[in-house]
Amino acid sequence: MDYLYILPELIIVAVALVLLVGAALSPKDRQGYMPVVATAGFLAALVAVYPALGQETNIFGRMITVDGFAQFFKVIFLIVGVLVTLSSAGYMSKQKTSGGEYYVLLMFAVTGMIFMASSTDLLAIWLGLELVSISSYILAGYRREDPKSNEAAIKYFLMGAIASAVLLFGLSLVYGYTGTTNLVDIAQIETKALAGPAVLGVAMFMLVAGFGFKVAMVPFHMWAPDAYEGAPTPVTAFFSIGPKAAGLAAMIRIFPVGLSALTSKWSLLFAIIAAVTMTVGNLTALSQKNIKRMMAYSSIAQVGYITIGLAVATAASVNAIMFYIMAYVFINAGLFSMIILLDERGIGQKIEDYAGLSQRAPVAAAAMVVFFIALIGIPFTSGFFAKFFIFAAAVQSGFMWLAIILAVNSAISVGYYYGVVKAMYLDAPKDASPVKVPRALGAVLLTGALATLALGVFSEPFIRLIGLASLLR
Amino acid sequence: MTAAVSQIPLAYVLVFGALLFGLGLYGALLRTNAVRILMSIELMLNAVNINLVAFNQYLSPGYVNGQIFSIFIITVAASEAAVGLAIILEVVRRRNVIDIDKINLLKW
Repeated sequence: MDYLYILPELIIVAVALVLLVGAALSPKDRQGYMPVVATAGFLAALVAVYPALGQETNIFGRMITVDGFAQFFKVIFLIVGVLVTLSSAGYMSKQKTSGGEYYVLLMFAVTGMIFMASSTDLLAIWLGLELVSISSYILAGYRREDPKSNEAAIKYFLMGAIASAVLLFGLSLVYGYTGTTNLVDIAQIETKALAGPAVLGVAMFMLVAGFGFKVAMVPFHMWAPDAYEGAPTPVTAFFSIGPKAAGLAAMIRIFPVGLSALTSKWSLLFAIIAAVTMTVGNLTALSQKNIKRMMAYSSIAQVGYITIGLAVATAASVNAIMFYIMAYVFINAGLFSMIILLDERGIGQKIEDYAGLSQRAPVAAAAMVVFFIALIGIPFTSGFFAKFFIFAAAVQSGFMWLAIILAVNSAISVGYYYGVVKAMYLDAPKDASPVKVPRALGAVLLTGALATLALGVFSEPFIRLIGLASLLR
Repeated sequence: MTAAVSQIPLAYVLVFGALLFGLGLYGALLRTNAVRILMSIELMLNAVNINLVAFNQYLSPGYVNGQIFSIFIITVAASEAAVGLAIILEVVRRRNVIDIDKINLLKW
């Protein structure tokens, strides 16, 4: 039965629909059960992934692929769903607008992300992308009474819709040239004779632009800082890990696998984009005062590092991307749990608001230091191996110059991460009252910190796992 | 395929699609009124539909992949427009502006 293979997705959608009805029926002050139900839904979906593990097949007329790569990302995205739901509960209960639809949209977005990673058909990948995008537009504007949130939504929507139309035009050209939308078929046609024509080159550019927008590669990153700053903070946390990881997974399916005949063209394009994205992200982050905006540029820089893996496009580099995404999800989820807490308590979003946090919340401040160390890429954290694998893959395939830019950029990034650490440990707090970390946020913080350290010290089993799930062999 | 359709070369249809797309992209990038941008985006999506249907009809008339793709695009475009108009309406209600150049609380 095909449906058994998409049981996790079915569970999420079913729970989301139940919550949608629940949101309409229950008043605002009686919606405390919603994050609990949403978390339970995500966990049930995680359990439902288990029966399909290790199998390889195509379902629904080869629209959806069941393979290790899909399962790997399915698990990652469901974990993202759990972490973001837990981080949102306290924040959303304090909002004026009903919190119910928030979890529904989050669950729909996660479903779309799963379909993006587990499809080998351009039509299904695009549908997944739109499910993520349309949910994200609404999530960005969820604080309706806040003009900044409105502005984030309208900017994200208009730019996102243009990017989506450009992407679609590219897809239509690929379809016209190959006569199919299935990536496996496209890969086979091209190896024969179709490589090289100008039309396919134009289509490739449009695909890079469309997906590059989604994952915020420079020069398609203009929306990210505004959307990150204006959106409700839990939504920012989601944007920085969820849609990004899904976009990169879809890009791995499309470029190294589907359009492998054009490798020489897009490889160079991605190499240039990677170099520019890293540098612009890090240099702009240096001058930011708002931590959400700083994290937006930080995440742009991280995507730059990951794009090196796309440019190299070997089995080693694709595995490196998968490890990077796994590490990055835990780092950012953990880091944002504190940003959410400080925003929720009204302490603020500015870096100067973090002054003296080491006295006000010592454990949380220490955990944040771990995350910053991981983002820089210092040993004994997951971030070190993430960058090391990308670096090694680049050097092996003769992209020495990209590896050097990666190293230089990691050094630059110390500058702005240190700014926050300095504020937390060296600056005196304006108000020395302790900040109590609620249980749900504490759980996210602890999960993130433990996973970051575990991946940095005992990375062996995870590397073997990724080897099993690898798409390129 | 009727006789009239078969006499129009595929290239003409594709050039029409590309022009429509260019027109939409021009409008989407250079207009500042949010609703006009939304209309331009719809033009771009319809250009894609023309492409898909034309490729399907001329190159692989036995299959319907392209036509099904275009039906999905029409559906998604409708939901995208619904969400987009709701967001635009919210901005206009709060701030009474529709010009995206004047929506500039967030910068650097």
